[in-house]
Amino acid sequence: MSANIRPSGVFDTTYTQEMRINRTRFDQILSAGFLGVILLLPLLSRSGPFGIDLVQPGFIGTVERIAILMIAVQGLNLLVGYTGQITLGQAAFMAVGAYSTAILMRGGVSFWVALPLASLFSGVVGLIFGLPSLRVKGFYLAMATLAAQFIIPWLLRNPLAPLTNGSSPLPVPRADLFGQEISGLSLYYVLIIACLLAMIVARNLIRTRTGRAFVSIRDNDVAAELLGINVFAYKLRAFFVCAVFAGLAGGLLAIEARSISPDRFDLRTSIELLAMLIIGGAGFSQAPIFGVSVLAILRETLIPGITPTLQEWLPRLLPFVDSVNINAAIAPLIFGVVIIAFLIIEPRGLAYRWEIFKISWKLRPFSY
Amino acid sequence: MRTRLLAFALVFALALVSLSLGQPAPTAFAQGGMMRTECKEDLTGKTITLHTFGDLSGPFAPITQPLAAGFADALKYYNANGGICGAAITLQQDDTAGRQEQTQSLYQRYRAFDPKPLMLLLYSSADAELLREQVADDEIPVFLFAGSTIGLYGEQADTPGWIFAGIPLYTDQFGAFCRWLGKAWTTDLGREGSPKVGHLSWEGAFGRSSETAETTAYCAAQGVEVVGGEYFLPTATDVTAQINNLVSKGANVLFTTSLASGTALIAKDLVTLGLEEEVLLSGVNWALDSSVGLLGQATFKPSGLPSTDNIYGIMPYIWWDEPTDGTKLVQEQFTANQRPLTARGISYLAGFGAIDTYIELITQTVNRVGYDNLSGAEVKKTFETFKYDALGGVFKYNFAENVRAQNSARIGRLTYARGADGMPIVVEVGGNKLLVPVVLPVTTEFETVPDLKPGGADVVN
Amino acid sequence: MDIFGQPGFAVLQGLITGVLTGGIYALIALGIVIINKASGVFNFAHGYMMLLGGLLFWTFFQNQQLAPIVAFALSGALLAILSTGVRYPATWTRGGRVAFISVAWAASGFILLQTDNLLLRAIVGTALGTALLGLLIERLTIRPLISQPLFTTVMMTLVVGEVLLGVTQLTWGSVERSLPIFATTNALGLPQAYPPIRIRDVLGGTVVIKTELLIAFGIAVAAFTGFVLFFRYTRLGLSMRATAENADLAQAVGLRVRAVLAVAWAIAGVLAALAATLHGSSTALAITLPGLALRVFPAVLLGGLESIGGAFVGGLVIGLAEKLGTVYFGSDVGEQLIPFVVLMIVLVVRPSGLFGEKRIERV
Repeated sequence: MSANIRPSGVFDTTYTQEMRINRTRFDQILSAGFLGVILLLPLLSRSGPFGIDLVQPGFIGTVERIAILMIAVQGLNLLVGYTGQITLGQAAFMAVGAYSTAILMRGGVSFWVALPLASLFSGVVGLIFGLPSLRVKGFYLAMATLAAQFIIPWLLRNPLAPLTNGSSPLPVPRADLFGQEISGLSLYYVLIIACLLAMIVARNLIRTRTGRAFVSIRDNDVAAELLGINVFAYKLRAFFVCAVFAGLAGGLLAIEARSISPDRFDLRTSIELLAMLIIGGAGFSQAPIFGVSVLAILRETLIPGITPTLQEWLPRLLPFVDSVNINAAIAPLIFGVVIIAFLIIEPRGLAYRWEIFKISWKLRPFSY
Repeated sequence: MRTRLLAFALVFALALVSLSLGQPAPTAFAQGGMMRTECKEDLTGKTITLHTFGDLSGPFAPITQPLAAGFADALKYYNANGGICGAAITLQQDDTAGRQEQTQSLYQRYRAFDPKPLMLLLYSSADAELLREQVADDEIPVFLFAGSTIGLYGEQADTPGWIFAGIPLYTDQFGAFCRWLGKAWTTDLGREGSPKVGHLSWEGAFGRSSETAETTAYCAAQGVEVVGGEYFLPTATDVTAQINNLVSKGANVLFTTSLASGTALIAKDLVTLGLEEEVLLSGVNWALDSSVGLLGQATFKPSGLPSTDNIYGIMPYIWWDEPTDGTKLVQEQFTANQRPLTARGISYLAGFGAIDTYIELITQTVNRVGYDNLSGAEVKKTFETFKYDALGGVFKYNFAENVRAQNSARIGRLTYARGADGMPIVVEVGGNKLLVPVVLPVTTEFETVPDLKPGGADVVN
Repeated sequence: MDIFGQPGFAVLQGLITGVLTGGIYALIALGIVIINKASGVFNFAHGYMMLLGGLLFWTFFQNQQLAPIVAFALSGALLAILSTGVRYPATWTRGGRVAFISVAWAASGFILLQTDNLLLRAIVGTALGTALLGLLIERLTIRPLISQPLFTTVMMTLVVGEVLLGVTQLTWGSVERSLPIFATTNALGLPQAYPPIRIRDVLGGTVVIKTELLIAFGIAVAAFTGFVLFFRYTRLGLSMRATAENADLAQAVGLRVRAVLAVAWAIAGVLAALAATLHGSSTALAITLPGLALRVFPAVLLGGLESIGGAFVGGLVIGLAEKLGTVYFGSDVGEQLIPFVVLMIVLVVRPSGLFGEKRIERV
């Protein structure tokens, strides 16, 4: 793959060097610069300490949600992108994480204890719904996870109602750090750091024995078994990791939104997470950055931006359209068309394009 | 060339000046014949925005689309008649499609607006409960057209927040209904035995809001037994099994916290089971709406009237057909904007009333603190002691520290308009024949609804 | 008389309603199975196709001015596409085919333009419109994915659903509509549903059969029988089965495999509209309709992904399980949980379903 293509003059002399993430100075500058911009963002907004009004405060919220969703999508990436299993239940596992965090915190447990516990619990639930992978694969497995997507919210709504408030939103207490409430700026940094840690864990997991086993199962499960990989055990591990990431994202979502309800974790959310993975590029560790950012910015900035114009013009072009309906119709239409375009034109996603771009940049001026 | 340009510019400027001189001076009080607080400040040339989002395209659509029409027509009318002390009102409106995720992201966008919204208008219980803590953090008061106890007072019902409701809490509505039912069962309704209520409502925060331990105990004290509850998805197509379950537990009254198709489905299946005379159908204020009355016309009772005839419920406002200045104004604008008959329901009225309330609210706040000090926190202060008859009494508000919801109501009945001969009036809309749903008051006086939030004044132990 | 602690008449009522609703579920399942049988794609967008089809029917059924022109255009476009794909009897000349297409177009157009019978017009118009919809989906989104992994096709049908939802909301909004097709006119001149059939004093109560549901069930069974005969005796049906059996061989003997796939999608489109209309006639057409298709997925799996008979059995079983579950455990359990518990049980016990092909590999 592309990672083997290096600019001239860069040689690997040790195995460690071969496995490095940032291989060249340029890579390092790029990563550090990106990280720096992200960390500086809230300081440049109106509410920041410098009083500079460079970044709209609304954009900070968008970045927060991107960070949270990136964790969920990275989990999905490990299961779908690297291990080749399909899940339609990621949102349900997020719900498990969010509700366990909230319930533990309401019971007086500190956020910093509740979050890991909730993620682990979510992972265990993920294992349970991954069990059918013992018998079935591919499409049938997708169906099993679809069942999870309905059974888990049902459990939250009905038998668990005394704990979860049923269908009503469940308020989440504020998290605190050394006695300080986490909100505003500190919330931003907590979310960004959590996201960063999750990305690093995922990136390194892929480089371990387990990660290689995942990929071999995706590429050819029969061959993997012949190589001595316990396919079922590794599939279950992938389910576990995927659900742990989802649970983590859910827990963070709970403290960010401060109120959660089963409706927030419906099938369409799961589909959106999958769509983010597709757009980002399943099987690339950078997929979440691209996929989540594109869809989140599309949803939170672009679509609200063009809606007024469409409301004015569309009814004139198409006489049967009522402008009241445009608001509701535009999001699914644009999402749908964008994702269809990706599936047909570039099913490998933006991360793949980015690799291509990097290669041609490194090989310049001989980029053919 | 240059002189020509100059001359043109001069003429243009003169024209502009004469146009602006020709504008009538703003008259900000006594709009449409109804009393409003007089302005102390003239805000001509300024713009004040009303922010609202909610489900326009999900399960609440039958109710909310006419609401949007009401907003639009009211804005047109009030902006032509002085706006808020001369300031123009604009509307910032968005659709959540009934998805909480969308609600959250819209809210994040709204709170970042510059200037920050003075007030947010919401109409979904679930949205209000979701945003409760956040609006308090951001100091944005919310005017909610729903009756969610958690949204208004918090989980333990002990922390009145930043949300104020334009209709009574659903718990209190059910309590008020029980109070009336206990008295009217053998007298006005002419029934025998004692009333036994079964809840049959939509799954979700809204549907499950009226069946609480407090309401059950209160109703028991009024001589009304609550036999249990069944909940169905808005996608359900058949509720005969649920009705049978409740009836076999002894229910002779069904109380629904659902709207439009939900209530119509129950009415229809009551007819299917032949229980339309035996079981009385009732519900929260949304059950008494044209949307229900129109959807119910696919099935008729043996008596020849639609299945949704004679639904009883809570009526916390004045209906279209009652002759008041407010309803007259709304009817005029409704006709002038050529709205279809199908929109002639509570939501259009509510949309109109919400704009009127907003004008009054801002006017009072401006009078108290001045335009330059206008903020969400100040609007909330106004709200906390807000006494106002919107649209000349169609909606009556008297908020106080511990009264965050509109709290007076009558009992009403959904039926169909009849001609002089006693036969229902049939109108034709777009090639379809329709009966005209109307809501009639059963009790004439507005009465304060019982306070049945946990720890409320009327809670029976 | 009680049956397992519930009044007997209520259980009987649940049984009857369950079977009747199951008939509609079976039709929905059939639409999914036909596509899966022909092309191996599980159509997650079926619910949204239903929604669009039902609203199309509503439009033709209500609107008196615009509809014929739209329908005429639709019929023309459809026949133009069909003319490139369907196998005609080998003896027909080119002229014969052109004549056949022209006559079919003229006839359908004539019906749409001339007839005063709204029902007939709505049926013809909707059938043409939804068949075209199926063809378009297949051509634009499914065909480009040949040789892509399973995940891509799963995702594609999910996303096609989103687009259809957008189109529906743009055109019709989300206001609920009633669809009184099985109705008479009452004294006031308004459409009125047929009175339900009531059987009194059975097992201690009254059992009610909704007439619309009964009619819908009858039509569903008839449509089902029609399709079984179609697959057994017609040339097109046989070629579809051949393609499903082995696409390469079918191509080798001269079948137009791609055309067969397209036709499968067109048929599924028509079936979706039929199911939506039947369902809508007994309740109403609402934007929440696609949720119904989700509850039918377990039926498809239970019956077996490729089995037409299985779709019928699966539909009935899920209908029964839902209604009986509601009688015994309340509707929270009956409608929201049971179909998916059935799904899990099928996956663990017998993933290929009752009548499906056993080709599940285990690794």
